[in-house]
Amino acid sequence: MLYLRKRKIALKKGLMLLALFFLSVAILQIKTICFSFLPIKSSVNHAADVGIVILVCLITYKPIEQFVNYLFREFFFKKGIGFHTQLIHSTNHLVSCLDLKEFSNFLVNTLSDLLHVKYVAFLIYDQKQKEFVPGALAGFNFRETRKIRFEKDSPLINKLRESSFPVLRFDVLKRVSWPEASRFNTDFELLRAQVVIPVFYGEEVIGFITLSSKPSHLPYLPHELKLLHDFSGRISFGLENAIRFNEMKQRYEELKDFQSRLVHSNKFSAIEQLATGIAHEIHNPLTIISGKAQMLLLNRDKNFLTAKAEEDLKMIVQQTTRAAEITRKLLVFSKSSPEQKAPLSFREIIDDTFELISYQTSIDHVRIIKEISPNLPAIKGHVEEFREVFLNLILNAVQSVERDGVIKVLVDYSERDQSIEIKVEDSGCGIKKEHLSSVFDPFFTTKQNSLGLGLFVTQRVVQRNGGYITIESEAYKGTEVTILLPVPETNEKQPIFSTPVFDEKVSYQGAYIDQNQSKEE
Amino acid sequence: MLKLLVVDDEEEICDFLRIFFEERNFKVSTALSGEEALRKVEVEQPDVCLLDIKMPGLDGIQVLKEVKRRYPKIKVIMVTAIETTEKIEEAVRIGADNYITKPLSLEYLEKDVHQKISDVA
Ligand SMILES: [Mg+2]
Repeated sequence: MLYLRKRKIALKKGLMLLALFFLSVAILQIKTICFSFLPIKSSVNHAADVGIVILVCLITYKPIEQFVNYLFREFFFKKGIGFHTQLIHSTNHLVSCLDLKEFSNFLVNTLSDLLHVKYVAFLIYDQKQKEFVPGALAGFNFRETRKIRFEKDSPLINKLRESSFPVLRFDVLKRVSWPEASRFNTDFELLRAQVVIPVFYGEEVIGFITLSSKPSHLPYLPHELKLLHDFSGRISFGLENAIRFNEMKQRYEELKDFQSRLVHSNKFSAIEQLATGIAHEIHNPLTIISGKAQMLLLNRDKNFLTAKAEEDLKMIVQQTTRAAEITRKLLVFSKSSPEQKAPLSFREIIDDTFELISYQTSIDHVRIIKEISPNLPAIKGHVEEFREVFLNLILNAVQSVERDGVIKVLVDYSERDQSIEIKVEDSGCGIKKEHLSSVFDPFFTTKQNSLGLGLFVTQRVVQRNGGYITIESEAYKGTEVTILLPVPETNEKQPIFSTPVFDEKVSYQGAYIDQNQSKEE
Repeated sequence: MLKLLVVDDEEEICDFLRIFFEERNFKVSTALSGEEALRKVEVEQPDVCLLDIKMPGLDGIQVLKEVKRRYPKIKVIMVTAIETTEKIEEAVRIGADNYITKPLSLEYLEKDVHQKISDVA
């Protein structure tokens, strides 16, 4: 396009220079002839000659330019060879264009570039709104564009359907009755249209193009209409494709939107409400239990407490505090964290987690293996949330392994998935097959003193960060939890994972496990 | 004798707090609702009020407003089951002197009550 236009401009400029040159030569010639008739002795005065030439050029420049332009437009449009190839060339692009917006813009720009008409409108049938709406417009001001809409059965569209060929304004107006003509006239006036070109797909009008008058203000000629008709035939398949694709894209967006609203608003607030309710209802009985136990302890002399009873009472107070912590945690996780996301250091989080449970791993010899790739791409998240994730997974593992069990935590970058892969494996008791599908359900638990929220909360955190979590387990063999967290695309160019340098830290810390408690995830 | 008003919709909580503070030489009265609390405040004119936030009818925040409006000298310690920051901020803005979360640590509560009273003196 650009190339062709430039060539045209160069040609124009050349023609004008040529015209001006011949004009100047002619004038100088006339001057010489005039002087030779006069009796005055003419001295050759170059300065005067140059002055005359400049004067003539200045006076005639504008008229000559206009004339050349006029010649050009008529030539290009009439002979149609250059114009025709360009139009065909543009259809090649249009047929392969799937984006409706791009399609419309390209079409309108091409036509207004090639034909030099002031107003070009391209309207497309919108299935949802059941009317023709602008795909792209050229020349119209914003206020006008808002009014440009046509119903499916408006007279203009019916006319297009009938004729299946470009429709000329004056042709329509002279053939219909007076009141009808005034209605048509309003439509044509709204679009500033001299010619309306329908785009058919099968029997249906799926769009139309309107053009205002040619720069020469001459009427559109039959061979031009034929050309425009061919053009509309060529683009129809492309337009239909773009429309379908656009619909699909919209549906997809709607579905995605609906889904995210469903997940966020519905389930989310229900969980939040539930959590608030639980926290309130449970904290009152806990207050009473803990309060009575504390009073017994405070009056230990009056109550003749044995050492064992005193220990037990202390345990009661401690355990109520723990229970309250659980409901608080639940509440925190049911809410979206308002704090800012920060780059996550998995090594730090994992080290901290093992530190935290080291008291629990003080009897059983649990072998802990950590393999954390040193060159992970940076991803952002809420540190507290991920602490919770690792605490849940590692606690589950610790509670399921027997003496001399093995817990393995791996963090690596998976190039194939563009994700950070986290694995927590244990050699513990595993999960029974019938329980495997329920482990992520809230309040599902096989343990006596657990609320069954660990994996539920873990899953929510992972999902909130765009990842997913899977769990594989075999009873009496072990469990493997895998989390994939997507790495945002902007991070792609940052240094990722070069050589895997694993740090293997083996510790023989015993695990303190309440032997009465059922050992399952 | 120092006067204390315990307000909570759970009777058991009121009871053990009454016993606990009576053993520590307080004159304790209790109220099971916000409405009852406002009546008791007028009659008893307590030095300190322990006020549960979540109650049916008038809640702790509304009672706090009324108490602080009529008797700004009464010290009010809010008792909350869950510490939502907005609720606590609201209570502090209205004039709550402190807040404590359930389940309660009685030792901490006793210290706090004494401190609030010594603040006045
Ligand atoms: Mg309450």
